[in-house]
Amino acid sequence: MTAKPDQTNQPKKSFWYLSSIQIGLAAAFGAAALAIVLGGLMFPLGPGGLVVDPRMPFAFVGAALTGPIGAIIVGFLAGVGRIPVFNIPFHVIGEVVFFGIGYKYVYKWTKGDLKKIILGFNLLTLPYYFLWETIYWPVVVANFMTKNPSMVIPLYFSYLPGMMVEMVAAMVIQSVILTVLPAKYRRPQW
Amino acid sequence: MSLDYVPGTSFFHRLDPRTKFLFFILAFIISEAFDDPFLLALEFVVIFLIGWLAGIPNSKIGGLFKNMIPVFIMLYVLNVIWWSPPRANVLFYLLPAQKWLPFSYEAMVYSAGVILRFANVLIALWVIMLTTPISRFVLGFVKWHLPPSIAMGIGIGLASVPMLSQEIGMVMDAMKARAWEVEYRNPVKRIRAYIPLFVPILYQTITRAENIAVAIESRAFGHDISRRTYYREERMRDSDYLVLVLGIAVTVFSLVIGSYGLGYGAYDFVYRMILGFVK
Repeated sequence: MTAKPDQTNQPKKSFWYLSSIQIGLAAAFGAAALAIVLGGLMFPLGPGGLVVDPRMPFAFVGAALTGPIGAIIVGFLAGVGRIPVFNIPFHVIGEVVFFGIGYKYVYKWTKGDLKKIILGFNLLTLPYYFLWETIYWPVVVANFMTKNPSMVIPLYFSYLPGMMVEMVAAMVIQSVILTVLPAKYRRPQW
Repeated sequence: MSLDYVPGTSFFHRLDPRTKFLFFILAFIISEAFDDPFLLALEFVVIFLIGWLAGIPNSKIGGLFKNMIPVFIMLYVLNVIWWSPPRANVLFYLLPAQKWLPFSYEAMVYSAGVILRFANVLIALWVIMLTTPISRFVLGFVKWHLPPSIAMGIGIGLASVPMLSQEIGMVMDAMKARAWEVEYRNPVKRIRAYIPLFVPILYQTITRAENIAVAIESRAFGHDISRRTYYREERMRDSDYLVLVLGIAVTVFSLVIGSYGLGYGAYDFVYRMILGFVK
C-alpha cells in the first residue's frame, strides 16, 4: 500500500508557519542586527539619544526576505539590545508592516530588476522613518513618560534632523546590501 | 548594554521570567500613577534596592544611566518649557520680549517627576534584564502560547549573537590591520568608512542562515514544531505567586490613591505637605 499525499508527517501550514530558510534568515539577520548593537557599531548624533544605526538595514532586509512572521523575529532581535520595552514594539510593528508586508508588493512591481528593487526598498524606508519613527517616539515619550501631549510637536522637531541623517545612512547601507545580496535572496522567501 | 546578564542565585534571580516581566509592567503602572517626584524617587529607591539585593553591581546601573544623561537633560528642558499649569510662578522667559518659553517652579518640579518616571521604567527594566537571560524570557513566553516557530527563531537568533559578534570583531580587526580608519567626527565620512565592513558581515549572515536552515531540517524541523520539547521548562513557584500578589496589591493601592484615583500623587503633593508642616 502506498501512502496518500495527505498522510505524510507534514503538519498543515498554520498562520505562524515559517520554512527552515525563513527561520534561518530571520534568526541570522536579527542576530546580525543585535550583534551590531552589542558591538557598539552605532555612533551618536548629538544629544537626544539619536544614533546612526547600521543595524536598521540588516533588520529591514531580514524582515523583507522573511515576510511578516519572520519580521516579528527580526524586529524582536533588533529591538532587544537597547531599551527593549519601547524598542521591541517599535521594531516589530515597523518591520512587519513596512518591510515584512510591503516588500512583497515592491518585489512584484520590480520583477527582480535590481535598480527597481533598490528604488522600491528605499521608497519603503521613507514612510518607515517619516510616518512611523518620527511619530512613534514623540508620541510614546510624550504620553507615557511626560504625560504632556503638548510635547509631541517639540519632540518631533527635535528628533527630525537627526532622523534624516539616520535615514540617509540606512538608505546608503541597504542599497549596498541589496546590491551584493545573491539574486535568489532578493526574492521574498514566503 | 542591557543584555549583560549578571549570574546569581538570589531570590530575584530564581523567580520565573513571567513574574519578572509582570513585575516590570506593575512598576511601569505605579510610575504612571504618580507625578510627584518624591514618591517617584521612593519607587526608584525600592527598585534599586531590589537590584542591589540581587547582586547587581552599582557600577553597572550607574554606567547604564550615564548613557541616558543627554536624553534626560533634553527631556527635562523641553518639558520645563512646554508644560505650564494655570497661575504658574514664572522665574524667567527664554524669550522675555515676547514672554515666550517660560521657566516656572511648577514646571521644574513636574519635570523632575517626568525624569524620575523615565528612570523608574529604565531601572525596573534593567533589573529584570540583568537578572534573567533572554532565552529564559522566550521559554517563559512559550508557556504564554508564543507561536513555537517564533520562539524557535528568536532562540536560534540569540544563540547566534555571540558567534556573529566574534566574527564581526574578527572582520574589524582584519580591516584595521589593513589601515581601515573609522573614527571620523564627520558622520558622512564615518558612514562611508563603515560600508566596506557590511559586505563581509552580510556574507557571514547569509552563510549562517543557510547553515541554520540545513541544521534544523536535519533535525526533523518540518515534522511538527508545536510538539517540540525543551531541555528546561519554566514553571511558577509559590515565591512567584507571592511576588505577584504583593506587586498587584501595591499597584492597586497606588492607582487608588494616585493621580488617577484620589489624586494624592499630584506633582506638588509632598511639596505642599512639607509646607503645611513648616507653617
